[in-house]
Amino acid sequence: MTLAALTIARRNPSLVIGFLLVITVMAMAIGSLFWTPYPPNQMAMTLRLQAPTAAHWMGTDPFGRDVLSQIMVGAQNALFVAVLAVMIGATLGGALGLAAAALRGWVEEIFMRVCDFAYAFPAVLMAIVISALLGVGATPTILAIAIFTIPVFGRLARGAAIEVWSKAFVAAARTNGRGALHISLRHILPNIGGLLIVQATTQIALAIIVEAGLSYLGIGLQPPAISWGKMLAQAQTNMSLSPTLAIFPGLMIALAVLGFNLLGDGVRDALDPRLRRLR
Amino acid sequence: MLFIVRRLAALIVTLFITASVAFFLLEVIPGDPALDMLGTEAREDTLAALRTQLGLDTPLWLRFFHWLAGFVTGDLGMSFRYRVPVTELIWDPLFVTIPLGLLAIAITIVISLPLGALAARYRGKAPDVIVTLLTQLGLAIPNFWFAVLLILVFSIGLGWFASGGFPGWEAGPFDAFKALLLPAISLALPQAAIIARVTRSSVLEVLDQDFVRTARAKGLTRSSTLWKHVLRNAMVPVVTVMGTQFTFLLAGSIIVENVFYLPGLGRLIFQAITQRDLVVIKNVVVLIAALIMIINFLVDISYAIINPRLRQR
Repeated sequence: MTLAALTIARRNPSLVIGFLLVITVMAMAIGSLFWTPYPPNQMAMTLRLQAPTAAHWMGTDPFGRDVLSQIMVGAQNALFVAVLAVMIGATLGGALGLAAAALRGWVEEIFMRVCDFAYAFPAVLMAIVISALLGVGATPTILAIAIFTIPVFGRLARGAAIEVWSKAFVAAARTNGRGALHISLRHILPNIGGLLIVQATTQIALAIIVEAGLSYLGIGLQPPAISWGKMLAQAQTNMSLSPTLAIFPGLMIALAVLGFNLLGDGVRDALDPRLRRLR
Repeated sequence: MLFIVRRLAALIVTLFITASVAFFLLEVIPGDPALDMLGTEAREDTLAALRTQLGLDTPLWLRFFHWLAGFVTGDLGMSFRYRVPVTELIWDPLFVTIPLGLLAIAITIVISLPLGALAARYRGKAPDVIVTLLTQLGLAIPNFWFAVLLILVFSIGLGWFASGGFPGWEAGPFDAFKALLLPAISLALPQAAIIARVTRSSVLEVLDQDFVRTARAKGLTRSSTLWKHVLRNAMVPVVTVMGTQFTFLLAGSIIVENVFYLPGLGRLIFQAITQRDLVVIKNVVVLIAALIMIINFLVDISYAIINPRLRQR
């Protein structure tokens, strides 16, 4: 068992490191639901802006709140927003891409033009416009990320699905009288599922960055909700007094993003070992 | 030629869709600009007069075509908030955002091309592993955190740079350049990571080709083959990716300009959103999207000119 694990670690370090980082962030997020060292929003003005100590491992913020507790709750929010947004975007985008590949013709053409349009808008710019439309907070942030995720999965699913449609077993299913919906769900989707999962993993990484960025700008999550991006913005105003405040939230964002990116790479290599040699 | 015409037609259609989506989305936003400008105490007839003056009482489709005609001819309307033409409002910020972007691109190229080529040259060895680790870090570190770290080290720690703000070009090119340097470095970080990766895989692909073996066989050294023959041939995909990176550069500038309090386009659009200055949002968003689409179009065209096989699609 350990030998097998070591072999995997040697062959595919991305998978192992990514997996460990993601598990760590997830453990923090889930753990924070049950326990944090201190209540994350408990203020104590006498303890404000402390450097890390035995009692406060990551120090305290300008209101004397425990940074570690906030980081843990921040993990929960970062994952919640990113995972939910990518799930919505992947489901809608995947479905639209499958439909475009199955129907072809003008449906596909319109779909691709809409994707072009969505691509022209950088994620952050689109998220900002959506915040202008829908206001600030968790729901607009999730919607904004979901909306720019749709075309990513739409294009990917369409391209991969078209390839599968040309395979002999699909032709066999068609001669058997199966409809486009049946073929898309039973034959195409299982064949492109791996690809979509790999994309979802890296897309979660991007979603974490965008959520943090929006919250940094003040148009993402709103207090009392805790976001790593928001913590960073607040740290910047107190940076000369307490530099460590600016370190931990950013470090967490970077580790979470690194974890999901590596996990995505690792899963891709594991699913398709041929690709590894080409890279 | 047919390829260019078709791409141009697609560009115009996409631009039109973008413009109309942005227009109608921002028109359905709840809220009355006239009420926003005059406050809740305003009298009804004053509000009505202002609505007429702003053209808010004409039908939606008429306003759309009026706006579109203005946009095409360079009339971007009047800011609700500042009561000055939007063209005037975006003029100064352009001279912050464009130099910032160019500086970031220059930094990206200087860092990423040598690193990517080096990694490919020593494939699987220590330099490759180090570059791969660096690119993973570059992709993972959000540029606004990197910006904060740069401020922490170079402004607060060493005191070499101001922690933000822009003295203006009239303060002299050196001071202006100095104010843009840290923001440009933080903007360049994720781009450099991506371009280094693309360069590495592109160089690896070219290294496998026959002409490289020929060059080596006729006695060229490994490094002169790499720098003279391989890198030049590996540039096509790199240039393409770089073209599409403009999009992310513009997007990144929205956040980075806010970190460093730079009065650029990104900060302008962000302020317009917090102040609900819809005319500014609408026009600047469409302008940025149009710029991005036109750049992508030019990249596509130039790519097709370099590589004729791509024209068929």
